[in-house]
This record gives sequence, C-alpha cells and structure tokens, in this order.
Amino acid sequence: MITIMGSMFLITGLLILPVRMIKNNITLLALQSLFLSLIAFLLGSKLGFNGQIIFIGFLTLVVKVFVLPFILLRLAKQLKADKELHPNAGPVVSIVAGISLAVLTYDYVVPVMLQDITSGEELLAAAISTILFGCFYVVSRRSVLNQVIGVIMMENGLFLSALAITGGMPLIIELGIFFDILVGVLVMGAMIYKISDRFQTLDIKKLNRLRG
Amino acid sequence: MNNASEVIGTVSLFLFAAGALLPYLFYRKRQLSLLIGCLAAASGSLMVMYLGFRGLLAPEPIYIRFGNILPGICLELLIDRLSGFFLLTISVIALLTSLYSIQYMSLYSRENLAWWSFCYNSFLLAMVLVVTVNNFLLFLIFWELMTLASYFLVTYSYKRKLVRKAGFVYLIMTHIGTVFIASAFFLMLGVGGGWDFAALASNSTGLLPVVKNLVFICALIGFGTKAGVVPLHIWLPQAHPAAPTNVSALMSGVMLKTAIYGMIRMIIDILGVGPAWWGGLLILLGAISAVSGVIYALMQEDLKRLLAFCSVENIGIILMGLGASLVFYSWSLPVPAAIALAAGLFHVLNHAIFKSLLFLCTGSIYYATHTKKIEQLGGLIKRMPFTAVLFLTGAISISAIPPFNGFASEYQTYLSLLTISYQQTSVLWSLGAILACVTLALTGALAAACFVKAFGISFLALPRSEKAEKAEEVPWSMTLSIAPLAILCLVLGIRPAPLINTLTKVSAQLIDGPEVPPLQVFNSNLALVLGLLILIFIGVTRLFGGYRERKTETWGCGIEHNVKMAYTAESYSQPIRRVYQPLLRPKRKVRTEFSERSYFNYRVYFKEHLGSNLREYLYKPIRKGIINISQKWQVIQSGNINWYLGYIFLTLILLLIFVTKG
Repeated sequence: MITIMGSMFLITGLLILPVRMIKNNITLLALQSLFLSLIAFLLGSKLGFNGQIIFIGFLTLVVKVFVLPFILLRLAKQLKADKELHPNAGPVVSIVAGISLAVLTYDYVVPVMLQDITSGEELLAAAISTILFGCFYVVSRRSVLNQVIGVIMMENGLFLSALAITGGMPLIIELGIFFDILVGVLVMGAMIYKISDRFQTLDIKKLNRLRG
Repeated sequence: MNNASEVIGTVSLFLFAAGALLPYLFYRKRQLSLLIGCLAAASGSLMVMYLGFRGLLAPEPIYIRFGNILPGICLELLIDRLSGFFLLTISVIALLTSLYSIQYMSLYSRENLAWWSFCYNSFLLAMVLVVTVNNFLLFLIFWELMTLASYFLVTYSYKRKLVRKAGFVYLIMTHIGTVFIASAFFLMLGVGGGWDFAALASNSTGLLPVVKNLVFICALIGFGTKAGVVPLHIWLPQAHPAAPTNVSALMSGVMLKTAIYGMIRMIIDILGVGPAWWGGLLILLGAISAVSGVIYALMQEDLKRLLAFCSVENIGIILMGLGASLVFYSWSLPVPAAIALAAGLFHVLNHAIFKSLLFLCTGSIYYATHTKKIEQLGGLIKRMPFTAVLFLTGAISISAIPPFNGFASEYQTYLSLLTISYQQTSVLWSLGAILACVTLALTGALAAACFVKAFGISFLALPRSEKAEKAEEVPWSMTLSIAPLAILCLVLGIRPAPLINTLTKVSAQLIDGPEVPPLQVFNSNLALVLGLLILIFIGVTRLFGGYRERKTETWGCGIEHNVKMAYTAESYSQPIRRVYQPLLRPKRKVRTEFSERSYFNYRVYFKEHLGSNLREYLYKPIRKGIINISQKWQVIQSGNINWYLGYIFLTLILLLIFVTKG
C-alpha cells in the first residue's frame, strides 16, 4: 500500500512538470501533498500507531493540502495568472527530462550511491526524484508563482526522504519546518504581489534589470 | 620577575583600546576626542617602550599569557630579543608621532577625528601585537587588522578621488601579499601540528628542500609586498602621499619594518638555515630596490612621494644586510651572520628614526604652507629655522654621511658584504658581493643628491610661491616632538657600539651559535676627527682668510633677481635623468616657437613625462589579462534567475552522478 502511495506521489510530481495551467499545477501539488500525508498515516500505523508521525501527517494535510494551495490559488486569481506563457522547456522536453531524472535516481543514485541507507518501499527513490523534479521545475519555468510551487515540491521531496530514512525528524523540528514553509509562502506571496505591481509582469526573465 | 611586564603589557594594550574607543564618547568635541586618542596612544607607546627594553635586554624571553581566545589558540605574547627590538622601534616612533599629531591633526579639524583616533590606535595595537604574538593564526589576524587600520588611515581624506585610488591599490597589493604569507605558513603546517611558531619551527626541520624553497619564495613575496621591495612596491609611492603625513611617518617608519620582522621570524627563526642562494636572492633584490628606489626618488617633486621612494631604497639596504646574514648562516659562519643581521636590524631602527623625522618635518612644512610640492616651496630656512635644522639632520642621516646614524648602519652592511667577498667561496660570490657594495655606495651618493635637491629647493633660495612666502614656524609642540628623533640620529651615529653589541645577541637567540665578541666601532673617533677638521678649517679661514665680509646684493648681470632664476627641482635632477635614460624612459617633448626671426620672441616649451615603467610593462598587462578573463566569465552571470537555478541543478545532478563515497 505504501509503495502504491509512493508511486502516486512520484507520478503527481511528474505530471506537474509539463502542465502549463497554473491552477492545475496547484491542484496537482495539493494532490501530491495529500499522498504525502497518506504515506505518513500509513507509516505511522505500520510502526505500531506512532503518534508523532500521524500528527505530522495531519499537519501536512492541513498546511500543505488546504492552506498553501488556498493561498496560492487566491494569489493566482488576484494576479490573473492562469497560464505559464513562455516556459523554458516545452511539455515533451519536460516529461522526458522528468522520466530520465526518475530513472537516474531509481537505477543509480539510490541503489549504488546510497546503498548503505536502508529504507522500505522504495520511498527514498521517490523522494529524491521529487526533489530533482522540483529543481528542474524551478529552472524550467519563468513565472514567479511557479518558482514557489517548485520550492514547495522540493520541500515535499525532502520531507518524504526524512520520513523514509528515519521515520520523521523530532517533532519540534518538524513543527519548525512547517512554520517555516508557511511563513515562507506568505512572504513569497507578498513579494510576488510587489513584483507584479512594480514590473507589471511575473516573468523572472524581466527581473534582470535588478542586476548590479 | 615577569609580573611587572605582564601588568604593563596588559595596561598598554588596554590603553590602545581605550584610545580607540573613548574618543567616540566625545564624538562632537573633536579637539577633545583627538587629545584623548593621541594621549592614550602616547602613554601606551611609553609602556610598550618599557616592554621593548626589557625584551631586548633580558636573556630569557618574556611570556605574557591572556588565555584562550579561540579553541586551541591562546593569545600569548612572547617577547624575545627580536620582538623586543621591534617593539622598541615601534614605540619610539609611535610615541613621538602621537605627540606630534595633537597639533598636526588640527589641519583636519573639520573631519571626523574620532574615527581617526580609532584607526590610529587600532593600527598601533595591531602592530604591537603582530611583532609579539607567537602563533601563526593570530599573527595573520593582527597582520590583517594592521592592514585594514592603515587602509582606513590612508583613505582618511576619502573625498579626494586620488586618495581612494591609492587606498585601493594599497589594499589589493597587501592582500596579494597576505595570500602568499598565509600559503607560506600553510606549507609549513604539519599534520596535527599546532599553530605555534615553536611547533612550526620543529616541524620545518623535516620539510623537503623543495617545500622549504617554496616557503621561502612565498614569504619573500608576501612580506616583500608589504615592505615595498621592487617590483612589488607600487603601492608605496601612491599610499604615502595620500595619507595624512603623521600616518605616513608611522607607515613608512614602522609598518614596513613589521614585514622585515616577519621575514626574519619566518626565514631565520622558523624555517632555519637554508641554501646560500636565498641570501643571494635577498641581496640582489635589495640592491635592485635600493638603486631603483633612490633613482625614482630623485625624480619626484612631491616631497612625500620622494620620501616614499626613499623608503623603498632603505628597505633594499636592510634586505642586503639580511641577505648577507642568510648567506653566512648557510656557510655556517654564525659570527659574521650575527653581525650582518645586527647591521640590518640597526638600519631598521635608523631608517625608522630618520624616515619618520623627515616625514614629520614634511608634515610641518605642509602645516605651514599647505603644499608638499617642492617647486612651490623655497626660502623656508629663514621662515622655519627649526624645522630646517631638523630636516637637514634627517637628510644628512639618510644620505649616510658621518657622523649620523645612517652612516653607522650602512657602514656595517658594507663590512658584511665585503666579508662575503673575503670568504672566496667562488668567483660569483666574491664579485657579486663587491658589486653589491658598489650598488650600496651608488645608492648613498644618489640619496645624497636626492636630499640636496629636497633640502636645497625647498629650504634655500627665494620662496617660489605665495604659500611659501607666508609660511611661519610651526608651534613648539610639533618641533619639540620631532627634536628627539634628530638627537637620536646624532647619538646613534656617534655611539652605535652599545646598540650593535646588543643586536648581535638577537640572532644568537634565534639560531644557536658561539658568543659574538663585542664589536669595535670607531664612529665616535670619526665624529671627533670630523669635528676637529671643521674647527681647523674654520680656524684657518679665520686666521688667513683674506677678505673682509661685504654684504650687498648679488650681482645678476644688472637684472633684478627673481624666483624664475633659481634652480628648480626638475632642472636639478635633469642630468641624472639623462644618465639613467634607458632605465627611466622619460617621454620628452621639446617645441620651439618664435615670431618672424628665429631670435626674437623666442620660446621653448619643454615637457617631460616620467611614467612608471613597471606599471607600463608589468602591471598593465596583468591587469588587462585579469579584466579580460573576468569579462569572458561574465557570460555565466546573465542575471537570469533560471540560469542561476540551472547551475545549481546541474551541479546537483553531476555530484549525484560522479561523487563516489570516500
């Protein structure tokens, strides 16, 4: 069951890459976070009803599935940003790149380089692939909103890898991370608002006027 | 026994710190903050002077321990004879300069004097600590602190563009130097060895000869940059005219010497005895620095630039002494080595004394006339008689004319170089040493010419500008704080024996060797003979000197005398410029203009530009190359965030693929 959830997590991540409608991206991100929280619930119950992991899954559900997508959707609506106009990589390139990144992690990074680390259910590979997806996504998109989405995706991957390797970090640190990402998105939202206000665009290519 | 030294050391450091910080309390009252800063610096220097004496005279090193400031690193001062000597040099100059500054800095009374006090005191503190800490990491830290503090002092009048540029050059050059110093230290660092000098020294005995040579070269470049060895001296003639004159006195008189300290500590104390070519290289570099320094000094018309080039020359002379000592060590002749090192150190002190004397006199001239250009001065001897006498003393000393101290130390250096040649190791060494002697003699002669020009043009004849005409003698506090330096010049010149015999013991503490027999010097007899000769000449002229004195106007072919008839600085140095034309490569332009007939309304325009060849042929290509490469690399800085993120992404992927587990 966890393996299936892990693959769903990976697939939603992969699907975000080619999609150009920002609303759909946000929905997919929420879906990915939902799978993440489900993985946490399942892991928690498998390890003999581990309260901490379940609590973390619950937090994920609240923050990442409901609050963050809500904020992002509202932002997208306010800024009338519904479509990534000029991605740096087209849908075909994106999907091919995504698949090759996944292959890289599944066939090389996790089995060869990280062979000492034992994690069940191939979760680690899914996590690392998602981190790389996030990186790629950030590189391939030009809209500021999409940068935020990419960052959250990387964060999801990091979260899952922590969960897969050690069964979650200490609670206080997890709380810190949640608070961090929540505040981060709020601040980034404010910044995006300012950017669009000042530059009349969300295209980060136009921001190089800031270069000294 | 060490208790008193410990207390005094601590108090002096606190005094410098107080001198740095307290003026900020009285930020608004500029005069008060300046007074506090200067007095704190002066009293701190007094205490350091005591420490210096103790360190120089005590047979055993003095330890002052302050406790750990970083894990595994203890702030500990170790004052052996070498450190003691440098402390003494620093404190003498710092004390008098601080007293001088009280009046001098009133020139800058509209500037931020608290900031000046802060930099000045931190500068002194850093210098004192640089020559006393016995730990490489702390040495580097205080070395950098010294550089930064002096940088801010150089750029004190930062509103002028030239000053900012000079500061920039200074900062770049000294940072390059620091890179080399740090690499020299890191090369010596053993596996798991401590940062202490003692640990480094015990570690260096096992180094490969190649590594030793590399360390030597790195140390030479690193400290040579700070000391101003040709061709690394380019910051000196820019930074000194830019800084306030009292600061130049300290920088030129003392700060350059910390680099000499570093060389001695690093090469003789830590690295130990090396091959003879080390010393040969030092002598060669010293000779080149001495001659080219003094030739360029002769060409200058800004007094401070002139003095700055003269510093290059004197550092060259010091290096010759140091090099001779290295040569003797590698031939295992410890006694001549100790004497050569003592000669070098003696010149360190002498140069510190007469160079700061000259700089402070230049400061007085600037104070009185607001100009440093020789061509605008003239006739000052009647208006500023005391300053003139002091400047003359410094000028005679720096030209190595007996009975002043410059002669005493250069004479010892001559003897050391001649001893190299007497050893008859090989033709190369004998000839080389003789040639070095000749260079030294040439340097002395050119320095004399240089200061005849500096003194003659600025103090004699008629005033060349209104500024010089309106000059008045500077306040007493300034002349009185310069005067001890002039007295020291004379005293050390007439009785150098006690100091030289103390200095020969310095090297015995660094490298074990037999007791050096007390040197016999006959400078006092020489001074006596000179004095007698002068008296006899005066007597003879009085007795037989024929004609009665007749005071009238000098006859000038019926034309009234004016300033334009006086010899100018440019014309004075012209013959020498012609002799050294291949070296200096002046760009000369002569244009004649006449109307109708070639003998009427005849005008000659003469223009000569003297650029720095080094800058033209060495630094310019380097700078261009660096800028070119940087511009090529700028392609990767597109300013596009996607690209930057892409770099990170690619690095991540590459690392994931290629990094294998260690």
